[in-house]
Formats: sequence, structure tokens, C-alpha cells
Amino acid sequence: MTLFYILLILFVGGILTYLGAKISKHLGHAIAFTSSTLSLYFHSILYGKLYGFTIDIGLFKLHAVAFSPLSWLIGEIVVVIGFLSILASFKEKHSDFYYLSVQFLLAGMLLFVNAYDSITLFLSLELVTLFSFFGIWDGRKESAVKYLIWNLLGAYFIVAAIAILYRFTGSYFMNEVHYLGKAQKLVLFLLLFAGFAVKSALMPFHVWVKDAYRDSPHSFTALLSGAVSKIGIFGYFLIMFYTFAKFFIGAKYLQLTLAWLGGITALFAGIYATTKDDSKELLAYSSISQLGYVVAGIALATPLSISAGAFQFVGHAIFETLLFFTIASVAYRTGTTRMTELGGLIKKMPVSFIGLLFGIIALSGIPPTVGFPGKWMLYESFIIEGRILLAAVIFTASITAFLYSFRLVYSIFLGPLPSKYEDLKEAPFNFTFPIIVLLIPLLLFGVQPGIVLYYIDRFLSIFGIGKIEHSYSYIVTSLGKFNALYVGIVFAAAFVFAFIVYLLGGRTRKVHQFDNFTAGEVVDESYKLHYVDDFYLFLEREIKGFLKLRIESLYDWLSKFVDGLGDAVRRVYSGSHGDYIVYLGFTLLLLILIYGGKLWF
Amino acid sequence: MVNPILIIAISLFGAFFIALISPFVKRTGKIIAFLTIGFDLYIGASLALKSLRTPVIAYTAGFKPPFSINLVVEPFSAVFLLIVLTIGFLISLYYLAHPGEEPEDKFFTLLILNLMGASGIIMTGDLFNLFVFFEITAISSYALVSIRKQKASLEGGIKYLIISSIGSSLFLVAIALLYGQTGTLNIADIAAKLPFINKSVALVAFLLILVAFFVESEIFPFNGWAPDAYQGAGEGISALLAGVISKAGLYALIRLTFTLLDLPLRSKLLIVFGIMTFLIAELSALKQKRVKRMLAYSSIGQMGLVVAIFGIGTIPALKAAIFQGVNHAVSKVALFLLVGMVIKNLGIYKLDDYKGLGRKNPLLGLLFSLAILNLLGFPLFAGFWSKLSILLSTGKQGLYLLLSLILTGAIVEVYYYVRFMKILYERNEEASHLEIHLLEAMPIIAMAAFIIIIGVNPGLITPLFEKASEAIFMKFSYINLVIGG
Repeated sequence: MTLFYILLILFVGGILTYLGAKISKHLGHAIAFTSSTLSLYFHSILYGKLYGFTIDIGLFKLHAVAFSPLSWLIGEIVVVIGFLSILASFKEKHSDFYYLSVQFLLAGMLLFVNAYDSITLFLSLELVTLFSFFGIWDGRKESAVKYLIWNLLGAYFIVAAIAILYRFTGSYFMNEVHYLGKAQKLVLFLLLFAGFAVKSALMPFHVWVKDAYRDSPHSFTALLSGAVSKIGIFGYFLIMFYTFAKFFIGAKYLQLTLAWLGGITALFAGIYATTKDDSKELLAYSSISQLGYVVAGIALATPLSISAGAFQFVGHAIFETLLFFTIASVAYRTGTTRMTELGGLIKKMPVSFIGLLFGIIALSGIPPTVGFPGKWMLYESFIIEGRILLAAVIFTASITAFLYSFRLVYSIFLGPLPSKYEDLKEAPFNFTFPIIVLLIPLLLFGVQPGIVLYYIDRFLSIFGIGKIEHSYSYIVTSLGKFNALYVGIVFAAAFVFAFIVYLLGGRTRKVHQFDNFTAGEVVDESYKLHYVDDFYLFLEREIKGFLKLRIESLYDWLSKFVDGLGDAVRRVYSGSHGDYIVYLGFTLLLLILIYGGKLWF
Repeated sequence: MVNPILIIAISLFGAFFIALISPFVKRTGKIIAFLTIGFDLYIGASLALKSLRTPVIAYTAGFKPPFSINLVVEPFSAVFLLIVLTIGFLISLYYLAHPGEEPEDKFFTLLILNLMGASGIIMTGDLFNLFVFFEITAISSYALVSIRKQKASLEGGIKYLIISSIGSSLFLVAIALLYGQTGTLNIADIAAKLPFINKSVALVAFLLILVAFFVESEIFPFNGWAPDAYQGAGEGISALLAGVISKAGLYALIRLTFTLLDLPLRSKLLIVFGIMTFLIAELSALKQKRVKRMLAYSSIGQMGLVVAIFGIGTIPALKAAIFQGVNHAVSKVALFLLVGMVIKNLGIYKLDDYKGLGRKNPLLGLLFSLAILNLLGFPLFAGFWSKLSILLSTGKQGLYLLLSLILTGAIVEVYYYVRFMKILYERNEEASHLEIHLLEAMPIIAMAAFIIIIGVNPGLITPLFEKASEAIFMKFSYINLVIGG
């Protein structure tokens, strides 16, 4: 029942926060802090246990059982990021309702990863959709509406599949389905997949992400990217290796199609990310791109590739959240997320800089961070399976990750400091704490990937997929062995060496950034000393044709079409009662003619 | 013993009592209406509770049917009776603090008569009696819609009058045809004799009845009157149209097509017309600039959805349809009453004028949002369960096209309602502050509480719907009940 109490804590906490905030803002904060801490604690002690509950609400019975080891893993990601996000959001301006939404959202996500029947699954999915909608609503409403429409579309795919599944199996459980034809299984699988694809922002269902991430409150974006997107990933695991396991393991063509979808998402989103000026938009596309890796990994369905995908999504939860928190702290101090308006913050906000630096190192998959082992396993698994072209696509996507990560750190923290930021301080503890906390697993899992892999092993063995050979430090594949600890030590040694060289190096003299000249002219602030506007202009020029290919234009056309249809249909109600009488009489005659015809002729 | 006839008698007494004392004592109409309808609700609720165990039948003139007119309250009619009387009661509660339409005494007389007619439609077991109650409801509705002496109200009223009286004359022809064939007017009796009726006559009578009550339950293309009537009527009357009058029409449609003339083509016709109405109305609502008109189209759309789900005709589907009908009634009535409060205070009609109102008036915003989220079927609210039941029951019958069309319409619906919510919460310094009388907000708060309680624990109410759907599903139990097996 512990899970039930956690949900209760979050629901009651949410309501109390709302009411408490009406009395005093601090009381509300205190309640939200308490309930998120409690949920974090109680969820953490569930590690390794079997837990769950059943409640009867009359119409249906709701079952929540941690039937998959991933339930706890994603649940833990949810409560950790939830706690950090709530902590950071105390410093931001929010409506009282915001804290209620966040806590309800956490409860919804916890319920989702433990949902054992399709009713609970859909209920929690809708809870997640509704309350993340309210979270974004606190930022900008247009984006929230866009988010809602897209995610409801996804939820409707899922509910349609649930209804059809119920027709054939007569049960609401998400157990493995038998006695279904191949075509039926394929249709149901694709419906569910499309539904989850909206949540995890797989192309072509990704268009809501840019707006939702850009315009949501900064600390909430970390939660959206770090935790809410994992809902979709959990859904993939659920349908691929549980509900449709036999079907999916046998369907090579389907695996390959989905893996390619993931690969293309990784590549395209990476390219889009390089062209964005708003750092949150950039990270939004980066998040889409990184989740594309995950999809490519798990869709290939070998033990190694699944481990790679699972490891990658844990990594994504860590570094993407970290990056969004660093952007949140920068935005908290400067009030902007546009990279062209920033620069030179390295000395003013060192903690944020370190966070962002390690975040992008992990993002680009460089050891000794959590980003490396996952990518390494992913490439290995592609090569073992002979999917060289897919490996090449993913590799190209990694190159784009280098490009946009470099832009991110360079434009925000390096270069000259705009004079309006002269008096800037480091972000408050509420922002630096999450950054420091997230740095620990980022490095730890980088040198000891086994910590996560041992957990993933449980998943692999319970669902009978196979296993991979590894210890805490090394991973063995048929192509070779990789020891993360050694690699980490080598990287650290190289860093220390470089640092010593730097210390021993030539004398330096510190000058003010404007104590400088170029082409014989004294420079002032109007002259930009570093390169931020049109950062990748050379690249954009080359891919201009590609950038014009936007799936958004199709969706825009569709929405205009519906709008026009609404306008046309509206005119059926002409307002003249004569017309209405004609409608009535004509339809009645038609009915009599159609149905009477059988009897009369 | 509680007798269903009391509802009719008390209402008639209350209505004429208002007319009687109005020349002497001013402004008592709303109190008498409140008391009368409250008493009706009390009787109705105890009847409904009783009918869940044993159905209640009242005979008039001391003869048993088919020789006399009878009133029947069995689970299906009990549910509708409860909806109609509860909504009516909440509306009369709202009018205690909200100014009634002028002339007030006549207005409240009509209101009571309207509810009496609606309850009569639901309770009666006699076809011609049903026609009489139907006319009482319809005529009082025309008057209620056009009582506000404005162009829009008169226009709405006259359109309603024209279309609806065509419908009722079609119904009268159908009654004549059936009477000619069977020599009886008792619903159960005709139903029992259905196998012996000439097929063509039965078919024509069926189609006539179908069209007549499609008009009342706002089904396209017979609902031309509805947008104008909703828009022109006072807000309490729009709520009455959504929660009471259309529901009584729906009851008659379902009772007559399921029990009286149980023809196989019913299912197809209800589904096709229902879903067509749903889609057309939701699309029309998309481009509306006036709040009441938008709500009117949404109301039409919901009626279409409910009719389509009734058309599926299995017990889970019937249950889902009843549940959705209740949720729609609650949400839509709440929305119209809220709009009424806004109009009373500010006199604004356009969507854009609502800018920032919810932000400025937290209670108003909260109630609006609750009603909207319930209507859209979000979890934690009752609407979630009814919408889920609808989708599951549709999928269960393998009606995939219907399933996808419902979901398509639902997306459109979400879009325009959320857009409305966005307008409500937009930043606007000039948004006005509303004086909300607590008594006036009381019915809406009660409905909000209902929405949340049922949303958290739908099991509190679904057994009722289960019984109702079983009752309407098995027409022979009704026949046996009335004329004895």
C-alpha cells in the first residue's frame, strides 16, 4: 500500500498547498516541499520490493502494480526530478495552482508507471496530460493549448486501442495478448505506439515540444523533459516487451522501421537544434534528438540494444534535466533565454557553468560521463546487428550534438559579458542545489555504468529477453570490452595533465574585456567580440532546402482546413426557418423513401 | 405511499396559485416556484428510490391498463425524472437570488408548468397522454424562450414554435396510425401488439415518431431552432433547455423507439443521425463569437453523441449514454447559469469580452473551469468515466468508424472550450469584478461537488445507471409490468 500512500500524499499535498498558499506563500511552499520530500523518501525505500495496490471505484477496479523493474526506476526518476523542480520553482513566480498541478502530475506519473490495467493506464495518462498542461499554462497559454491538443490526440490513439483490445480480449489487463491475428496486433501496436510517440516526442509527433519547452516555467521544463517524456518511453517498453512481446520480437520489419524512425528523429532534431537561438528551444530539439537514440535502441530489441536504450534514457533524465536547470538559473538571473542576449557569464555564475559544461559533455557522449556507455553500447549493437547505415545516421546525429552543445556553452558563458550583467550573482541555492545533485550520478554512472545495468538486467531477465555481460566497471560485447573506470581515470589524468601544463604555461595578464582594440579601433559594447548572431550561418546556408521541409506546414494546413470546415458547416444553420422546414421535410421524405422502398416495391 | 400523480397535482396547484395571488402579493413567484419544485423533487426522489426495488405504477379512474391512463416509474424513467427535477430544482434555486424574467409571475408559472410537463412525459405510460404533456412542455418552452421582449428572443421563440409544432403534428399522425392498427393508446399494450401491426404502418409511424423527437432532442437536421432559441432565451431558460427540455425529448425518443416500436433499423438511424449531429455541431461551435451560441452548439453536439451511443443499444452502451447525458446536463446547466451571472453583472455576450474575467474572479473562473473540464472528460471529474465508458462500449461492438468520429469531434470540442478557458484567464487589467451572490452560486457549487465526488468515486452512481439501462434494454419486463404477464 506504500504506493497508494505516496499518491495520497501527493494528491492531498497538492490540495493543501493550494489552500495554504491562499493564507501565506511560505506556508504553501512548506507544504509542497514536505509532500515532495515525503514522496521521494517513501518511493526510494521501495527499491527492490514488490509493491502495488488495488482499489475498487465501483465502475472499474484500478490495479497499480510494479510489475516491471522499470516501474521503480522511472518512478524514482520522477520523484527525484519532481523534488528538485519544486525546490527550484520556489524562487520563481508561480500561481498557487501551479504547485497543485506539479504534485498531481507527479502522482499521475507514478500511477502510470505502475498501471497494471488499461483503465488505470489511460486514467493516469490523462492525469499527466492535464496537469502538465496546467504547468505549461503557468508560462504561456497558447503553448499549453498546443500541448494539450497534441497530447490528447496521443491519448485518443491509446484509448481507441484500449477499447479495441478490450473487445478482443475481454479484459482490461495489459497482459500479453494471444489469439489475435497478426494484422490486428500490428494495428493495435501501432495505435499504442503512436500514442506514446506523442508523449516522447518522436517525429512526426514532435511539433508541440518546441513551444511547450520554450514557454513553460523554467523549472517545470526540467520536469517535462526529464520525467514526463519518460512516460512515452515506459509505454514503448510496455507494449514492445510485455503486451505485444511475442509479436514484436518476431516482427523484424517492424523493429527496423521503428529503429529508423528513432534514428531519423535523432538526426533531424539535432539539425534543427543547431539553428535555434533560444537556448530552451535548442534544448527542446536536443531532448527530442536524444530520445530518438533511445527509441532506436529499444526498437532493435537485442539485449545489448535494449540495455543501451535503457541506459541512454537514464542518462537523458540526468543530463537533460541538468541542462534545463542551468538554463533556469541563467534565466532567473538574466531574465532571458536567448543566446544572442547572453555571454561571458562564466565568472559570474561558475556553478551553472560547471553544470552546463558537464551536461553538454554527457550530451555529446564523452567519457567519463553517463552519456558515453549508452552511446557506446548503442553503436556496438547496431554494428553487431549489421545495421551500419543506421549507425551512421546516429553517428551524424552525434555530430550535430557537438555543434549545438558548443554553441550553448559558448554563447552563454564565454565571450564578452554584456555590461548590464556586470553585477550579476550566482543563482540562489534552489537552483544550484539541483545542479550539484545531478552532477553526482552524471559522473558516477559514467565510471560505474554497472549500477544502472544491473538494474536493467532484472528487466531483461524478467521479460526473458537475454542478458549482457558486464560488471560495475566494464561491459563486454562480441566486439570487445570497454572499461568505464579505466577510461574515466585516463580522462581525469589527461585533464590533470592539461591543467598542470596550463599552470606552468606562460605568464598571463588580466585585462578588462573592453581594454582591447581591433583593426586599430577601440571597441565598445556595440561591437560584438564573439560570434553569436547567426552562429551556424554557414551550416544553415547549406541546409536551407532541408530546413524548408517542415512537417508543421502540413499540420498548419490541416488546422486551417478544420477551421474553414467549421466556417462552412456553420452556414448550414442559415437562420431562416424556411430552410429548417425544408431540411425537416426533405429528410423525413428521404427516410420514408429509403426504408419504405423495401416494403413497397 | 408516494404517488407519482402528486408531482402533477402539486405542480398544477403551485402554478395556478402564483397566478391567483400575484395581483395581491407581488414578487412571491420565485419562492412558490422554489417550494413547488422542491416538493416535486422530494416526491420524485422518493419515487425513484422506491422504483429501484419495485417499480411504481399509478392508475387513474380505478381501471387497470390498458383501459385507463397510468403513470409508471421504473428505473429508466426514475433516472430521467431525477435529472429533470434536480436540474429544475437547481434552476429555481438559482432564480431565488437572480432576477427572473419579466413579467415575473407569469414566468414562474410557466417554469413550473414546463417541469410538470417534462416529468409527465417521463412518467406517463399512455401515448396520447404523452402527447399532451409534450405539448404542455413545448408550449411553455416557446413562451419561456420568447418572454424576454427582445428581437433575438422572439426570433428564437418563433423558430422553435414553428419547427416544434411540425414535430408534434407528426407525432399526432403517428399516434393516429398506431391507434388505428391496435385500438389502444397504452404504450405497453401497443408494444405487446407490435408483431400484429401492418409492417408499413409501423415503419411510417416509427419514422414519424423518430423525426418528431429528433426535433425535441436537437438532432440534425431537425435542430435549426436550437441555436437561436438557446441564444435568445434567458440564461436560466437556456439551462432549462439543455438540462430539462431536451432531456425529456430524449427520454421520449428512447422510450418510444426502444419499447413502443422496437424496429431493427432504430440502431442504424440513431447512430447515423447522432454522430452527424455531434460532428456538425462541434464544427459549427468552432467559429462562434458569442458565448451562448457556442454553448448552444456544444449542447446540440452532446445530445447527438448521447443519441448515437443510445443507438448502439447494448447494456454497457445504454449505461454510458445515460451517464454522459447526466454529465452533460450538469455541466451545461452550470455553464449557462454562470453565463447568466456574468450577463446580469456586465451585460456582455461576446467571447472576447470575457477576457481576464476568471483571473479577476477566482470563484467564477474555478466553476467555469470545473464545468468545462468535466464536459471535456478529464480525469478526476465525472465526465472522464462517462466518456471512457462511451469509448469502451463503442469499441466493444466493433464500431471503429464511430469510435474515430467521436474522438475527432472530441478534439474539436477540447479546442474551442480550452480556447474559452484561455480567454477567461488572460491577463487583462480592465476585467471587471463581479458581485456573486452566494445563493446564486449555490446550485453551481452543488453541481461542482457532484462532478468531483462522482469523478473520484463513480461507483456511487453507476449502479443506478446499470439498473436503468437494464430496464430499458428489456422491453418485455416493461410490458409485463404494466399490463401483467
